[in-house]
Amino acid sequence: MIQSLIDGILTGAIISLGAIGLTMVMHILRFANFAYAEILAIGAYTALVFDALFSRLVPALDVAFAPLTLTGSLVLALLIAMVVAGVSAVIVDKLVFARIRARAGALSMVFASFGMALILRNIITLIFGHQPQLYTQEITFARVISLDPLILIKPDQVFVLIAALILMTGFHLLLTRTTFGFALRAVAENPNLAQVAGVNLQRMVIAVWMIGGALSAAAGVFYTLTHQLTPMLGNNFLLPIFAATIVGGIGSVYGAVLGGFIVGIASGLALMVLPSGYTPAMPFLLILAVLLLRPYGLFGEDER
Amino acid sequence: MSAVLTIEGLVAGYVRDLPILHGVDLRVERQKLTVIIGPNGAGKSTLIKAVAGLVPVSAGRVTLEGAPITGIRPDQMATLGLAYVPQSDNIFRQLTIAENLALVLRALPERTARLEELYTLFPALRDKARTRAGALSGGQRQMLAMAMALSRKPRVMLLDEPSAGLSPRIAAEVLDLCRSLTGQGVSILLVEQNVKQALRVADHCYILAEGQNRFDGAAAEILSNPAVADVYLGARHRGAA
Repeated sequence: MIQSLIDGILTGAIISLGAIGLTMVMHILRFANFAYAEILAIGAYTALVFDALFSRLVPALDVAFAPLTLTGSLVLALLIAMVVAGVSAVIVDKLVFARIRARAGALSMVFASFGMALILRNIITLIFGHQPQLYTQEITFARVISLDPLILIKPDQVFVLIAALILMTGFHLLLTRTTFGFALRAVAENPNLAQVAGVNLQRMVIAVWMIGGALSAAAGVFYTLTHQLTPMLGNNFLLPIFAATIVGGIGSVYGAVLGGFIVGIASGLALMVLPSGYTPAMPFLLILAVLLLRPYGLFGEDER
Repeated sequence: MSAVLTIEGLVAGYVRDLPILHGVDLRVERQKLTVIIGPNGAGKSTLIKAVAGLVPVSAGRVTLEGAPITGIRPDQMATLGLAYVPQSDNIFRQLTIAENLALVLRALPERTARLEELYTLFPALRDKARTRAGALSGGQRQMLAMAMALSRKPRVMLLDEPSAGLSPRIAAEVLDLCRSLTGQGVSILLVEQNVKQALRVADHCYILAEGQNRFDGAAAEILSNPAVADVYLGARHRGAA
């Protein structure tokens, strides 16, 4: 059970990072963006490209920070991936969603996001192929933390958890200690009033896409540190990220973080009682349970 | 008398080709309190939202001190000296009082001094600075909304039913505060359902119906006009004049 719990927490941290941006975008732009999870894949693949590039250009960067498999080139590639993913999210919004937003309703936006998800996934497949990719070919062994009960953890997993928590803490400080953060929260709560309070809504929408894209890219890279990378990465995270957003309450950043951990842990613990083939249904069950018991989520507010 | 805010032939609505306002004209004189009254659905709130840049304007023009402001983004209105206080949801409930005020003051170089002035004007806000705005009472929320609107020393304030949902005593205090602000150089355009109280503090009154001007005149005289009182305000208001 402890092993399942730990695995669930690690997955939950990655889901939380992805859900932070989604909850803000959904609340501010008022549509369920099914293309959002593809940003994780864009980030992960961008890091793959730049990691290989930096490793060849500067071989000294291709040295792992033992005991991690993380290299200097991947750290730099991660930073670039965060920027590229954020810019990609802004470009997709400008080219597709903003135009539809100006002419059509929320339902059209949802269908457009489905289409955009397929387009992005197929572009990734066209460029990189279906075959799984890895950031490193080195094999790392999990450390035995305890024999009874058996608990195994890879150093990379510990790094991912710490790095995800640092990013979330940084974002928390941004939201609570800076006037830019106040403006982000204000826009998330009431976009019209935020404008009246002097906040430039268009700029904040761009900022939300950038921040959400950057955090999602980090989530994609962190996941790929300990797993194989395929074009289905975004699709695999789509449901968990949506579940985290709905469980936490749409519009609540802290709800998204908590929701991510709840979804991750629930999926991890479900492995103890369900065959592994059924665990992907766990986010579905959580969404249904929350919609039945508290339709506006744990941290959301009833807007009726 | 010089008008600080002028509205000429304003046509506006939430949906294209379906205007709610059909050519409204209105003037707000300097340091005066002007009230807009009228039956439900008359377009009163739509009018000040259109002036604030929140509702698309399809024809007509709005000028502030003679400069056209029609179609300007809502976030730019504040820097031009125009503040808008919505009827409901006029504060950020998730933010503390201090964060609400820091947000609206963030662009001001003299924000620390201005914050002190606002706390002096509304001492109750200082006492609860770290309290989430959502936990405030209706009257305190209205005070915070007024403080936020006043933060950048506006020349004109647009207020949408500031007394809505408040007890009669608090509502009277809020309207008295509006009145007192005119003495500090602020010109006010007020939408109110509470006709009797609004006319008590107002200098001039406009009556709208079906998105059009129907009558305007000095607030003190408006209820004594039998035709106006009967048709637009209901006969029960006549005796209140």
